[in-house]
This record gives sequence, structure tokens and C-alpha cells, in this order.
Amino acid sequence: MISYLIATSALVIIAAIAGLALNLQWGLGGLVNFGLFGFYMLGAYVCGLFSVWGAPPLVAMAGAIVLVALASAATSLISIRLSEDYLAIVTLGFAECLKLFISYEEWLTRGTLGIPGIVRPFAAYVPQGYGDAAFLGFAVLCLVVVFAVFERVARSPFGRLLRASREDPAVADTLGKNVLVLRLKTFALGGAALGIAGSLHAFYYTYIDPTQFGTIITAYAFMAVVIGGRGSNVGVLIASFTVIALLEGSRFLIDVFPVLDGSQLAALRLFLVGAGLVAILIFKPDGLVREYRLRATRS
Amino acid sequence: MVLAAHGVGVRFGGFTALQDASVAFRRGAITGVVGPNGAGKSTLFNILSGRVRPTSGAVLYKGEDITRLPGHARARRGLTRTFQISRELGGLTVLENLLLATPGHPGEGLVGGLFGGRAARAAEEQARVDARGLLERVGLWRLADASASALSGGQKKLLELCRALMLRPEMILLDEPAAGVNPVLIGEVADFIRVLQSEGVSFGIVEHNMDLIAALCDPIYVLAEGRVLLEGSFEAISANEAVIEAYLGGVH
Repeated sequence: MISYLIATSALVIIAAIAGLALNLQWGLGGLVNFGLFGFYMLGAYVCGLFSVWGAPPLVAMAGAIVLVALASAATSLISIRLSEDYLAIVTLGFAECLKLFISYEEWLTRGTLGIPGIVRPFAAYVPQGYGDAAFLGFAVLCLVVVFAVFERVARSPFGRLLRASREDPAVADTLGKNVLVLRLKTFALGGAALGIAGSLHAFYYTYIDPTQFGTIITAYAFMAVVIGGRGSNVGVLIASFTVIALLEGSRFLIDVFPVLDGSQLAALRLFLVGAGLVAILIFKPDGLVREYRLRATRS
Repeated sequence: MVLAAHGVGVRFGGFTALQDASVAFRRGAITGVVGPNGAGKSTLFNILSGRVRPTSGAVLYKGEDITRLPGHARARRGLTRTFQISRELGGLTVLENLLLATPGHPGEGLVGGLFGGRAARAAEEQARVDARGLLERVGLWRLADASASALSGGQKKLLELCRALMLRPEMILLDEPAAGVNPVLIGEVADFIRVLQSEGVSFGIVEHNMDLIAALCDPIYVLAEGRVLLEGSFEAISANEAVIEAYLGGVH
């Protein structure tokens, strides 16, 4: 039971970091990143490859952060002349191309065979049997850092400018703001967080192959942001836990309703999760938590 | 002369929106631009503010050719605009709308935003003082923490004007400042514009409300079908046969 909780928590934390990245890019910045899973996958592969080539885990992770940030920045540049809907298409295209590249360029990525033997950080110092617990501790630390940084960004003048460019980029332009540069920075910063999330994925499974990565990762991130409330980092955290709690918690329904068999329950679980999400959006259409606003006259 | 367009023209596909238009905005003046719908007034403002690049002609600002300069770079030089339909930022509070316009805010960089150094904090403090001063002048301070989308039409126009003023601009282009504003507030908007003029800000105004044009603007350019018909005082243009035919005939 403990190991099950640790495993679930690790997945929640990785999903939460991806959710926070999307919240910065789309929640605050209005940049629709449908290719989120591609950047996440890139992070996992860069980290995994660097690791099996002999780089220490933290160095591999740093490489993943930098490269995903650069790839994100480059992708946002491609969309200079495209309006916002097209950014969604460009990012999705990037993700699918990357997945095909990784699946077929076997000389680099070992293709569908995947990459085994990825070493976790501090593995040498962790006693036998505590690997997952130590990993969870490291993942929590990563989440805390990402959350702290993004929360600070959201409350800073940079975050205010980001919200403004989401509402109306033309206004930001008439006020002397270079919206393109702003979006480039935002995509890069979100990409850095996706590099962290991807690295944690690689560390957690210690084996990666292309089938682990798909649009469902993007979907979970969007779910977390929509339910949590666009622009609210706290909301995204709560929502990430809520979504996984609904998904995983419904497993235990079999104890309550022993009349159901396994396949009936599996179908019922998805139904319950869907109903739960719809209920949240009916009662809280703007999400669980409101995004940050300056309160000046009170202070 | 603070701002001038020399023979600017723009075509959208086969449609000529503006042809060989030359207008000049005198320093310290409130220059009006009038004309029937589709005359090219908004296109002219879009060219002057950098939203549309002209296919011919040049735009000069304080003697510098800014024809190819993007809008944000023009704003940094002190040339900004407001929009025909208010574009308040509803996702920001009234105060945040103004703070946003702080020029060269060090906290708007990623590093400045993250580590919030002394320069960023000082800039934010100063911006709040400036913003409060402006909002108090137009009676919006009590709404400082309200969402900008909660304001009335006239209040939104005042908010946009204050937001533009945070840039400490030399020249503001106002696209229909009286559109969607109730008649009582139109007077208030006009008074505010005149006070700002006396403080040294130059204005260009596109407007359909002839009372406002008559009260504020000199000189006035009349545009029709993408060309400049003539330029003159309100008395001169309202006495002109061609203008009456093109435009004022429908009003008087």
C-alpha cells in the first residue's frame, strides 16, 4: 500500500509540474500549447540519453531543461506570423514530428526498443529498497521550486504583462511592449519546467520508449489548468491532485460495491471521473481558484 | 511638427483604403480627422501607430522616419494611441491597467520579475504613485481594484487615456474618444483632453461627434474615399461645398 501511494504521488507531482508549465504558457499567457507532450517527451529523452551516455543524473536533467527551453523558444518563433490558433497547430505538429523522429531514428534513440537503465539522482546514496521514496522526495523538491518560481512570476510585473498580452496583445503593443519577445520568454520558461517534468518521468520509470508519450499527457495538463482555474498556480496544484485522486481513488470502489466485477468497475470508474470533472465545472465554471489580482486600496 | 504622414497609401488586395494622403500634426495642437465611414480615417491611424505598414509614402515622428518601426517601438518614443472600441484589459484591475503602461519597467523582464531587485521595486512604487495621481484626476481611484471590464463606456475611455498617459507620451492618437460615451461624460473627456493639451501633449483625434471636433480641434483634415479632401479650421471646412457634399450634407 505504501509503495502504491508513493507511485501515485510521484505521478501526481510530475503531472502537476506539467500543469504548472501549461498554466504559465496558456493560463497566464494565452499561448495554446497542444504539443505539450512533445516537449515533455523531449525532456525525458534528452535526460535519458545523456544519462545512458554517462552524464551524472543532475547534469542530464540540466541538459534536458536547457534544450527543452530552447526548443520551446524556437517553436514560438516559428509562429511569429501566425495568429494564435495556428500556434496550437504548430506545437501539435512539433510534438507529432518529434514522436515520429524518436520512433524511427534508431541510431540516436534506439527507436521503439526504448532506452533502459536510466540512473536516478543520488541513487548511490540511497539504501536498497528506498529508491522510490528517495525519488519522491526529489520530485517534491522539484515541484516546490517550480511552484515558487512560477508563483513569483505570476505576481510580478512580468506576470501582469503576460495577462495583458493574453487579453489583448494589440494594447500591450501600443503601450510599448514587445509581445513577441514576451511570448518567447514565456514559452522558454514553460519549456524549462517541461524539461524538469520529462526528466522526472525518465528517472521514475528508468526506462522510456515512445509509447509512453501521447496526447493524454497534454490532456491531463489542460484538465489541471481548466479545473484549477486559468492562471492560478495553487488551483493547478489542487486540480492535479483532484484528477488523480478521482482516477485512482475510484479503484477502491470495489471494496464498497463487491457486486461489481472488474470490467464493470473499470468502465464505471471512467464514467465517474468524467462526471466528477463535469460537476466541478458546473459548480465552479472558472475553476477552483481565481488567478492573482493586485489589491492596492486595501493594503 | 511632431508627427506627419507624407503621401501614404495602402491597398488591401484590390481595395485602396488610403491613397497619397498627407497630414501633419503640429506640436501642442489637437488635430482633427473627420470623414464619412470608409474614408480611411482608421487606416490612417493604424499607419501612424504602426499597426498597418503603408504600401507607399512615409511617416515622420519628430523628424525621424518611423515608417517601418513596429508599434511598440513607436510607443517607447512617446507616440501612442487609443482605440475606437475601448480595449480595456478586463483580466486586469483598473490600477493594473495603468501600472502595465509604466515605460521601461525593470520588473517586466524575466530576471527582474523573478528576483525583484531594488530597481524593480522602486519602479513599481513610483508607478503606483503616478497611477494613483492620474486615477484621482479622473475620479476613478475608488474603482482602482475593480476589474476594468466593470467600468462604463465613458470610464473605459478615461481609463484608456490615463493608461496612455502613464507612458508620458508626446503625441496621442485618439480613435473616436466619444464613441459609446454618455453625453455628460463626453464633456468630461473633452475637458481632460484640453487640460492635457495645456500640459504639452499633442493630440490627433478621429471623431464623428462634430460638437467635440468643433470644440477641440484645429486644424481639421477631411478625408473622403481614401484621400485628403482639405484641411482647415472648423469654420472653413464646414463652409466648403465639397465637404458638405461628401460628408456634412448628411449631418446638417
